[in-house]
Amino acid sequence: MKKKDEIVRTVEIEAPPEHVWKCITQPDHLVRWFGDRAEVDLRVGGAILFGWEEIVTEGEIVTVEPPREFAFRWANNVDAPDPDQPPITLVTYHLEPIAQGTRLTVVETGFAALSDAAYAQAYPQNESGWRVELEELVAYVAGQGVSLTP
Amino acid sequence: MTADTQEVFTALADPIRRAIIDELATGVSRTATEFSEAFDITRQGVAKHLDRLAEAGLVHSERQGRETRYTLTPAPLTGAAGWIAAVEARWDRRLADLKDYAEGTYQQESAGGGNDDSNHD
Repeated sequence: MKKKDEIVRTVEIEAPPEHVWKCITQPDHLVRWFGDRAEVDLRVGGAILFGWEEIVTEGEIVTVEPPREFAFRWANNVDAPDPDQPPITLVTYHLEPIAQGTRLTVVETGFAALSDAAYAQAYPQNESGWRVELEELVAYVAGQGVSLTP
Repeated sequence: MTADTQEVFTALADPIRRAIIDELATGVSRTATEFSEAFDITRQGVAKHLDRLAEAGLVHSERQGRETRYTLTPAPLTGAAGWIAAVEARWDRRLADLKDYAEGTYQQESAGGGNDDSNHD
C-alpha cells in the first residue's frame, strides 16, 4: 500500500490570529482543547510536551513566528501503530487572517519515514490484523462522541 | 485520499454498519435480506447501509442468480492508510475543539472577560 506522508487540515475560526496564536501556544489554553497536560518553552529549540491520560508526547519547537506560524517536531505516539517506536513528525500551524477571523491550517508530515517493516509488523495483511485495527478505529470513532450502543 | 478517509470514518460511525462489518469479518458472504432478518430492520434500511459501506470501499457486492451477496473488502482499514486516517480524524476533532474554545474565549475577552478566569496578557 502506498504510504501517505502528509496530513493537511483547515478550520476557519471567528477570532483574530493573535488570539488563536495564544490558544495554540500557551499551556493554560492548550489544556482546554488539546490535551490534559501541556508544557511549552516557546522559543526555537524549546521543548514542548503534551500529555493525555496514558500518553505523554514530547517534541521540540521548530518555528515561532507570532501570529503566523508555529511548528514543532514530536514523536507522534498518539495514534502510532507501535507507540514505542513512534514516527517523528513535523506539525506546522499556519494562521492566515481572513475577514471572519483566522484560517488555521495544520500540516503534519513525516509519516512515510516509518519503515515498511514497521508498517507490516503493525498491520499484518490478514484478517486478525485488520480486525484488531478495526476495533481501534471503532474505539476511535466512539471517542468522537458517536454512540457505540446499537 | 481525504475524501476516502472521511467515507471510511462515516461508514464506521454507525452501529448497524459496524455490526455488518463485524459479521462479514468472519469471512462469510451475506445478502441484504439476511442482514435485515438478523438486525430486525427493513431490507431497504440495510441496503442503504450496504451502499454506504460500498462507497467507502469496505464491502463488495456480487450477484449470484437472483440475489446479491456482500463480502468484506477491508483494504481501506489496513496499513498506513488506517493509521493516518486516525491521525487525520484526530486533527479534525482537535480543530473543531479549538474553534469552539478560541471563539468562546475571544467573545469573553471582547465582552470584557467578566467570567474569564485566565489572565489577560
